[in-house]
Amino acid sequence: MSPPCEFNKSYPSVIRSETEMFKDLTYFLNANNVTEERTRDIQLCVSEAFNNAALHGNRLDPAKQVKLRLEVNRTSVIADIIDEGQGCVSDIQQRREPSSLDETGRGVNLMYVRADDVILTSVEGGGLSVRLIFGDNVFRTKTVTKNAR
Amino acid sequence: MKITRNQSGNVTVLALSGRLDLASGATLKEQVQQEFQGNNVHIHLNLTKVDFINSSGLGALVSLMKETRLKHGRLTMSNLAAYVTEIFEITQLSHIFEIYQTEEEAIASYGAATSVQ
Repeated sequence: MSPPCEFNKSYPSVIRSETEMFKDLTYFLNANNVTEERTRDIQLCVSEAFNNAALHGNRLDPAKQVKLRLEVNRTSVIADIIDEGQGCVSDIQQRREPSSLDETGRGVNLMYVRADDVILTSVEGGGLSVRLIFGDNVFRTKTVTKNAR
Repeated sequence: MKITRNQSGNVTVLALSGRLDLASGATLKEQVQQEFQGNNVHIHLNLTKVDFINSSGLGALVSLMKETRLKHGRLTMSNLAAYVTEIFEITQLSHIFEIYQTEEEAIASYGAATSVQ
């Protein structure tokens, strides 16, 4: 049975959703032979984007959803995290750098450091979409398909 | 995340296991608050079995550090996995926390600090 190439799920904006999302994400990455190192990077970046979406985008309103979409192709893993809030791209781009004693504000920097590309897009009708792309040394093995004789 | 508690002299040792993230960071803070209520203000965190940390987990640790300082205590950590150490360094938090290679070194530092006083 082939591993899933795509995953789509929406989660309510509550704290416990992070745990459920993490399990789903880890299962998907393991099923698609992602290396241990890149699995950690993807887990970190997706959890940062997911928590930002739930906490800041959707303000922990359980009626609002955080959508997670995962895609695997020949060379990369792509994650889209979409909220239903009122924030916009400039909110993130103009964020203040945290001081050492700040308890928040480090997540976005971590995404930019550990993901190979981060694309922010405002969603028509409201919400923010964060696309994370991981394209370097992602997969453990290359699958070679031989034609049946 | 699982938290195992031990006492070493006047230092409360909390061994953490699993992920340190938004939900478990809140759990850890609640546990430490209970220690403060019991007048235990020196807290050592053994992170040997912590296999994941994100900015929410880091935020919980920063919060705990500030609170222990307010109570004239210390917060130390030890046995960080390589990936966890990387996250501390990326966020430049490795220089604001007291981090030791081993739990034994960390506990010994409490005794040394007491002797200096």
